[in-house]
Amino acid sequence: MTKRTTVNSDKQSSKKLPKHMRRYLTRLGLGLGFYGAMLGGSIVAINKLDLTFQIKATLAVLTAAPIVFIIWAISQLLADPEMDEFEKMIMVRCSLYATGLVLTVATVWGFLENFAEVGRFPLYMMFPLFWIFFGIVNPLVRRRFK
Amino acid sequence: MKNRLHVLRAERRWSQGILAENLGVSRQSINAIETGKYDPSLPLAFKISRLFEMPIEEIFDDEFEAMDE
Repeated sequence: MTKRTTVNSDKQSSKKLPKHMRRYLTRLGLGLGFYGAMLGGSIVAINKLDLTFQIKATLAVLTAAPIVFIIWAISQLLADPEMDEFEKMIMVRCSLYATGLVLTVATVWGFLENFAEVGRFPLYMMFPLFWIFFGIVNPLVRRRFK
Repeated sequence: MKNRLHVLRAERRWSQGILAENLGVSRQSINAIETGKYDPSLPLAFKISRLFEMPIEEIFDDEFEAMDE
């Protein structure tokens, strides 16, 4: 069979970060930057100033807002048609396992708090916990495809 | 799903990297498809078919059909 298809060699290939990843990393950077600034600012304001409940509640929501933005950025990355479908599948699986583990920890700890009166688990730690579990399951999920 | 991607690629002396680049996917995707651990989506299967200038069923083995035979 005559090979009419032009095939690029490895040397021709571009090593640049794909557009969708650059978009995601920009959003992630923005989200983390605002989160750091809001968290630092809010802690200082709450410790140094005599704030009303309304202002404290507003600061709490504003501090959480960049995290919601990061969750949105992740959902946009997963919905991006340019993203490599295999990598997308790995990321979706890792997210599902991590979500399952976070829900398990939250449920078990919730009953421990009620029944055994163990210390309160700060709910804002659920997001970092999700990424810890994501990091743990990632190599395990990838190993299944090697 | 079984497939002949590794053989077809070897016949053309393409590395996994070259094939991945031409299909617009990661090298890990090619490796997972070749080992039969990951089934490509229909659009990617068509891309592979066009690149190798072969019908999809000559690249991917329909195991259900093979069982009927």
